[in-house]
Amino acid sequence: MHRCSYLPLVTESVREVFVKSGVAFTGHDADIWYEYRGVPLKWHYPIGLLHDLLTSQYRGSSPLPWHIIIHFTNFPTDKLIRINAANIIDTPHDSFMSMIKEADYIRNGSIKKLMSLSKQDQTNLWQGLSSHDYDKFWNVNARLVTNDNTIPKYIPLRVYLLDQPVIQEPVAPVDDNLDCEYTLRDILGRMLPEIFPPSLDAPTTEGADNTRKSDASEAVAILHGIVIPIETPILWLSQNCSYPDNFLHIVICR
Amino acid sequence: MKEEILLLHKPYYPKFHVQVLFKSRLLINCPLTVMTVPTTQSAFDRTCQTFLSHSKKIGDTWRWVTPGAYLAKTVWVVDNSNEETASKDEESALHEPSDPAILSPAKPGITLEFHVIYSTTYACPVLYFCGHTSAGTGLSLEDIRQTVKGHMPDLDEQKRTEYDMPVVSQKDHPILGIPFYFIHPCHTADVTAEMLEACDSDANYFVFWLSLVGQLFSPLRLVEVGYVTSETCCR
Repeated sequence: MHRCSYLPLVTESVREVFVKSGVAFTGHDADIWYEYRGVPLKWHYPIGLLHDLLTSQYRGSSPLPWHIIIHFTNFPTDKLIRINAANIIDTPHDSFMSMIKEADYIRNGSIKKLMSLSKQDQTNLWQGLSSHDYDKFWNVNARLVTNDNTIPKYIPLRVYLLDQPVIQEPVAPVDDNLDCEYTLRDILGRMLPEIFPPSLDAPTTEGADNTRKSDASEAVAILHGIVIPIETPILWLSQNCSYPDNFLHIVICR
Repeated sequence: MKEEILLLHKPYYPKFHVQVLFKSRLLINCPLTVMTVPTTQSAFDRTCQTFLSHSKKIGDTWRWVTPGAYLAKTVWVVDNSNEETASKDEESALHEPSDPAILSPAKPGITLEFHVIYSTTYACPVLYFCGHTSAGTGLSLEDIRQTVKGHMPDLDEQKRTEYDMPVVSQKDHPILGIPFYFIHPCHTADVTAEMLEACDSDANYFVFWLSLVGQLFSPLRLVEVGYVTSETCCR
């Protein structure tokens, strides 16, 4: 499975494999869902994000391939967003376009830029993603993420921890004077000061602060399965390492 | 004499125009506060607290929820999908408070939960909702619509906004992390600007917004009559 894709897009081929090998399934593809170690997998999260979020705590002890369980019944509507039975691609498509539009709004304060794309270009975004056609996707998406080289108002960013709600708040890429680019450390230090306290170079009192430093050094930020150097400028990360929905989906692992 | 707010609106798609008329021009004795469009979480919090004090005064059942900092209201609705069990009193059947002391086990019904949560992306409030049976089973939008008398015809999963997004769809509740239905906020900023042009500084923006978005749930009512006053409030 591709990191930059969504579970419902593989459901049809996965279902065919199981049915061919003897599973008696007469239901609908919209009823199919996936689970890892008892946790239903949110299909609207990119697959790569799901993997980072649910396996990073097992770093070193959970090698690939990632084993997940497929279910053909009892879709947990209390935990997973319902999928339109008429066409199971519609709901993921709307979810993806909604994220892209939200990213555009976050960057520019409106979605005029995205709405000014031709209908064909908007279609190519989704088709490029769903058929893994890199060029088709990037011919359109490049215009959105580079933003015509204007500095975005805010960065589309979501931060995930296993034990608390997703964090999404306005993240400016540079300071008000436009002369200082914020790094991942600056952003995470503001969002999660107890996990990412001020720079270790800052003068601190001895003793009590030593424990804090060692706790802080264990927390890492994971994006696309790799630990991101904390001093990376957030604007560069956004332009080069965003998921196809134009968001940075960063997992914090303590 | 009771004021009644009539919201006349063209269909939500493609553009939502609002004209507000008042049946009566009497001033109700309710202190007005200057409210502006909440453009930050803290401004939203303050607006909600003022709204809540009005809510309590007129017996509406909105409440403040922490952690998370959002408004919530629970509405119990008689199950009208089977006409034989429908309540004869249509008005009270539409929205009764969820006080267990007055629920009748003989009347099957569902619970609707409405949450108003601030969106930091769009800098506006967003309405989330979900429905459950008395046994706690979650309901689909279609189930909810079939249960409420009148079937809420404007609450249609097929309708799209001007920006080609579903007017109503599901997403993870920002605080609870579980699926809730929500009304897409992509249009709220435009409508807000229109309303502010039409209303003077004494207008209660938040009540107007909630009334607007609440129209989608008609004939169910999210906002009780009695919040808004002043004949000069809206042109």
